[in-house]
Amino acid sequence: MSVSGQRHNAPNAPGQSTLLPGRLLIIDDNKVMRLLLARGLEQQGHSVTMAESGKCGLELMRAERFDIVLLDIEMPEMDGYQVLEAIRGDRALREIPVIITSSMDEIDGVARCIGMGAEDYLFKPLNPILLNARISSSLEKKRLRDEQRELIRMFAASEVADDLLAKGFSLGGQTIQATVLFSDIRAFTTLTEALPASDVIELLNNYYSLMFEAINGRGGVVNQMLGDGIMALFGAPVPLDNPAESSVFAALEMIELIDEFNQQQVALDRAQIKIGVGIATGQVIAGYTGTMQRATYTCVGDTVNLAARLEAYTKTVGQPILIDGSTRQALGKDIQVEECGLVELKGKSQAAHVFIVSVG
Amino acid sequence: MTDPLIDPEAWETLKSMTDSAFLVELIDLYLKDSPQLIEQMRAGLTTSDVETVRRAAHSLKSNSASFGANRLANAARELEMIAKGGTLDGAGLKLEAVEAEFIQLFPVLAELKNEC
Repeated sequence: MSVSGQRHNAPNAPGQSTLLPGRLLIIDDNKVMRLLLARGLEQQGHSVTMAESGKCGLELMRAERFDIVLLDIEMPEMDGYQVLEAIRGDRALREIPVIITSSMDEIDGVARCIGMGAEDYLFKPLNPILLNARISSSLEKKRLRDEQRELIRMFAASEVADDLLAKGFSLGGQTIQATVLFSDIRAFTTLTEALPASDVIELLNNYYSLMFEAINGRGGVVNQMLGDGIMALFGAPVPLDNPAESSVFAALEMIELIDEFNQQQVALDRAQIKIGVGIATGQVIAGYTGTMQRATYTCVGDTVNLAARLEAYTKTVGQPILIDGSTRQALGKDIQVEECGLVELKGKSQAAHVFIVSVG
Repeated sequence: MTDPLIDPEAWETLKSMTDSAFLVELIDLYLKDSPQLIEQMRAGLTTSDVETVRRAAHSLKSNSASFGANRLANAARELEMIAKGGTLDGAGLKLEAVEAEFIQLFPVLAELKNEC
């Protein structure tokens, strides 16, 4: 449909040309309504696609990306409720805001649609000022939501982001079986005293990239970074066949990658690093902790403490990877381990069986 | 005094949303569609097809209201409401009222179209 030769007879229509144009889809079986709505929206600078049935509309939504869908309730074959239900049931579509267009005496239907997740409504006959305001507000809200999703993706591990986006956010936890891995750079503080600040950050970033690669490559999720320390989870929030074994493989790769990294550092006459890794398997309490304003997906409990203590204990025994008995039990023959005996770990009332994973 | 066939305020609103070429297209579409919708209502009444009557009345109501043809929109709404109740009791009389309104509206809209 062309927008040439447009005439603005409503001098006070607010928002005109002040907002970014959106890609809108109109689903309405009534041609007069479709055309009228399309024209009103095109005059505001939006690009508009029309569908004459719910089925066509859904097909278009699956083929193209739209910012907003304007949906009629009263349609033959597939009515607005059924379309809304299909949209909400489709993971790829359910984030797209839906504005219900209906006549004034369909208020019950509008309420039902809002209850089903519709974002807003517009009464027919259309009021151009309201139309403009509702579309602007929905586009703005969608833009903010998209930004928020982007931020979640950027700052949370992708598995956590998916979990968050799929199940929604709620503080509160559950007890699950998982493997926890702690890693730390040995003598990082001494190392940094000798280096300029920019080199320290570069070193940390290189270290993190390598560690993330090893951990993510084995299905683990880095959920905390503190200074030069990393806490990673295997088996939560995404289940793994053998989280314990995956974590040990990840630890071995971490050591290997650090060795390669050190060789490069030697060649460049730069500081080398060593890491220690502690791994423990068992029940953990997992969930989002914090406040509604700031929260993180994390695990707490004895298993987490044990992994942290084992990581610290690597310094004492001078071995890069230490694991607990439960992790040991889950390992296959490919991984060589050595008994380290019963060890009294700091903060633990009972001595723990500790094993050394052979490296190289 | 009876209400005007076309509410001037609604007509102005409609004009503000469109340009004249588009308005002409829209009126043509409406003048072509409406007799078909009335025909559907009549057929639905003959075969006691409540759903067809309800749907056609609903469409005519919405379309008419867009042009500010509130008298016709109201007559169509009353017919829609009867059908919504699941029966067609009294629907025949209402359909006559709808037709009478449309017959009066037709020349008025045709005239407005010429002014576009």
